[in-house]
Amino acid sequence: MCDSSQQVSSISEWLESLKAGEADATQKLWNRYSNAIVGLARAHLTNMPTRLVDAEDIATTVFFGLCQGAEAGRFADVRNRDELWWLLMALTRRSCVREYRREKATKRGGGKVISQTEISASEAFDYLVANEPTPEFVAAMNDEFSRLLRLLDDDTLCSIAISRIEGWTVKEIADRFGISMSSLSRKLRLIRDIWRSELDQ
Amino acid sequence: MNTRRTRRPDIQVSKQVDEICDLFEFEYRNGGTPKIEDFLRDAVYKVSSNGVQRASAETKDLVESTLLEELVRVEIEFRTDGGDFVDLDEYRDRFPDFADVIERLRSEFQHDATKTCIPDPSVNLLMHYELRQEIGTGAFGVVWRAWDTKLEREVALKVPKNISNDKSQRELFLREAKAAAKLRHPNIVPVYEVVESTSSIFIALAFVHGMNLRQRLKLTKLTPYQAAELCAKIGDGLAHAHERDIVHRDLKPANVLLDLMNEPHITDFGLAKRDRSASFRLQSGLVLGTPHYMSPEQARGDSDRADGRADIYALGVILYEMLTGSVPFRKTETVVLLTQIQQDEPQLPRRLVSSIPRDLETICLKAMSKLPAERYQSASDMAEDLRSFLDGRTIQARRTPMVIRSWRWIRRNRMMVAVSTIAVLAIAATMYFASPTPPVGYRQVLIETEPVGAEITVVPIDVETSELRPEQLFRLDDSTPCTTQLDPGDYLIVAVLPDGRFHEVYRHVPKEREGLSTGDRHRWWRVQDNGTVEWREIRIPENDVVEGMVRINGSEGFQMASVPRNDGETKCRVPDYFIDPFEVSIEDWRRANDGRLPVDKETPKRNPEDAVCVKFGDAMHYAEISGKRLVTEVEFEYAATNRGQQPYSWGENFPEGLLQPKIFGPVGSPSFDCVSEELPIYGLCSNVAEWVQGNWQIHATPLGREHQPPHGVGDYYQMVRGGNKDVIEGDPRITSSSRSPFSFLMRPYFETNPGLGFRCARSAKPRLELADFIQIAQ
Repeated sequence: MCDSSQQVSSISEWLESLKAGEADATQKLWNRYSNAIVGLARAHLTNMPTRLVDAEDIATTVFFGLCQGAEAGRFADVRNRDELWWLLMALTRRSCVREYRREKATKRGGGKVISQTEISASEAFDYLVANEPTPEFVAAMNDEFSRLLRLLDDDTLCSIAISRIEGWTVKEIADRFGISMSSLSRKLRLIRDIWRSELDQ
Repeated sequence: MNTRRTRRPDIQVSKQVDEICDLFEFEYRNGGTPKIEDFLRDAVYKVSSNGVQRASAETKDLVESTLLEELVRVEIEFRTDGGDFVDLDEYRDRFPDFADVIERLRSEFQHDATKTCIPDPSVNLLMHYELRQEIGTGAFGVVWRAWDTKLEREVALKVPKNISNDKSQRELFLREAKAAAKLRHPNIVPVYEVVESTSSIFIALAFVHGMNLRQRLKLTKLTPYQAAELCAKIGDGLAHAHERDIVHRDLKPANVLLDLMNEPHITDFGLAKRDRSASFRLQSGLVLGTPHYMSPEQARGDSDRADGRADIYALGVILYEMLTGSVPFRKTETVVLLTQIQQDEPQLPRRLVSSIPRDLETICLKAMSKLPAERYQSASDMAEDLRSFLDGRTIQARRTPMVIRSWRWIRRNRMMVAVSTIAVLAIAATMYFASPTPPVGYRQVLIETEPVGAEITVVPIDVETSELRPEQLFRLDDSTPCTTQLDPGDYLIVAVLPDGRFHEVYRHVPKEREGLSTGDRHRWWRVQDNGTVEWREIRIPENDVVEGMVRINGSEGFQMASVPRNDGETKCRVPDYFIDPFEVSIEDWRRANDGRLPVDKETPKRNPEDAVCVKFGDAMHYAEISGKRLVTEVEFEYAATNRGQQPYSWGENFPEGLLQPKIFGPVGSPSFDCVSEELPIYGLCSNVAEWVQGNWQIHATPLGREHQPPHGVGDYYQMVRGGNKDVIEGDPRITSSSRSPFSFLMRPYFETNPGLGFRCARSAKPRLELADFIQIAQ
């Protein structure tokens, strides 16, 4: 696994370059990837047991967030995704890799170690969306999402994180919670810091 | 100091900073003027004394700089929203030790700043004044933020328009403006210069950082004590001017500027035209300004005879508005308003808001007497009386000979209570800092109605599912105004007057540390100094509010088709109710909201007769101020199936050869979608979809609750009927699948959708006991 702080800075760096407009190729890759991931999320949602989804906390599933975001068209532009989203992806990717290594280790006493010591900004993105997402990956994303929400340990922070993953704009979220934009940005920074520190572990 | 740029605060510190900033914002929103300096000092002290962090100098520095940065961001946002123009140099002066933090913020605000602070590159000069930015226009003329290049100071430059070409008029104006320019008082904005050039006249005055009182009042309500204090200071300013024979004649909240310390400064002395009321009269309908604060003698057209007591009247009106939230006479047609001002007695402030102290009401009414001779004869008398009130002394104004001394005793002692409250708050703030989980418990809630004297029934709403819990309802012993203790959460409040008039509204009790209240009437709250939660008063409508609505007789066993039947049938009891025959239109909305339209992209494109599409909260708000409530989903389905007798709102079959609408039409169209002759209700399963209130207990089967709503319902989602997702998102077509009266879906309550409106209902009688609520039939 790569050095995670390296990865974090690569993600931030990559986001910066995206904002600077270098988005063309990335956008194409993203379109394919996001369509697949939303399709999988939708399948998960429809397979849920009851019509309304029972007492399960539907709003806090990543499936729901993905479908909501996609249906409202808040998903189309790769630049609209908050850093939170990429952190979630990176953490999921990492937990999948860890799982993979654990399995290999138990089966054969050690498998091929996926390792990236030096990655550039664009490689960070490629790393995140390298392969077509699998159903397992989306399910893992969901688990990771719930875990990360629990880490926030604050209802408001959770709701803000969910809204952001769903792709609401900061203005919309600030209005919804009736807080100033400055406070919302502060809370988003706090969430990012908490999630980032997870990548460091 | 350099460490600040490189180090990130650790998460524990960030969390604490976040909490402190929430408290700061909370104070701002609740009408306070929190000081960054205080928060900074307290926080550093707490962090170090709490041992949360080992308070090394470095940590202390980090906490301070992080907190300062965040607090300044919040403050700047509030100030710019309030119409103030922020200069970061001011912060550099206030926090000289943190120049690096301020510089960092400067780059952050750079692009905002181009809008607010940075002067137009094409420098615009008016004599030695560099015009930097136009900051306002009004009946008076244009106001610029400008730079005095000679004296190197910031000024506000007023360039009056329509100065009469008549030489004598012009001279009169100049004479008065120059006389006013001599006024020097802490509560009057100093005039630096009155300049007369061949082409124009303009006035340079001190630039006050802050906002005007009108903007301030829009933010939050003031407490009676804050209001009294402000008025006393404005009175001081008036007194100073009146002693020099200068009368304002156009005193109003927009002419009172509040600086950052909340000190009031009166502006525009001597600038009012003498013949204003005449121009109002001549051009009724074309309102040049607001005559709401005009004295009766001015309203009569006796402007020339109006003396300082006209200003005292205006100050009375300002006090009235601060206390009650609205001016005493509100007619929009100028001619009617002017007549009201001369003839009508204002409604007693305490009738409107029963918590207003009696003495303050007396002072306010004396200032607003119709006859100048019955008002305070000088502004200083009025200021003195306001201070007597504030100090708990006997006031001079008399309305009734009855002096309620015991009240003053309470008032005096309330000062003690207030002091101890502050102490408790300080301790509580420290506790929050130490423990992340705040204490939870009931809160004292003040319930007020207009008119007073209503009996109150409280129906709790389930926190998890947002469904009504009528089995837990209870009635209060006292009639309004009254207080009770409620757990944090949401409630349906049923208020019934002895004569049978009633209203059913939703209200919210905040958690102990719930930061911020929203503007919606049903969600709004504020905490008084003594910790009591205050709500918007419940305005009980006349019984004729149901005129134009359709009455629907209920049922003992209505079979909900939209509810699954695991074990036989789920039937419910539906009490009688009234329902609007149409969705609420844009025009309805405009009329109910003082001419304002909802802010979204769609509304301006539509016709006034079209259904208004707003957020759920706005729909709730509208329903409440209209004396109604939203339709519940059971009521919707019951009406849309003609009481369970037909599959569509228009009848048995889906219309053949239906010409599909391309856009949403006016409410009431298409006309075929009418329930029946007996129940002329239109548009339930056509036109826009509609917000409804979910009845979740109906969805839960009697045996188990496997169909419980998702968590976050009410907190996040609300129910929609009468159209599917396509309809909600703007597709007006009517198909059997998109328009089934049985299908429903959830939408986030804070969304505005181009195809999602609402209509109102009202209970046939107030819901006071379990049997009055929609229930699963036994």
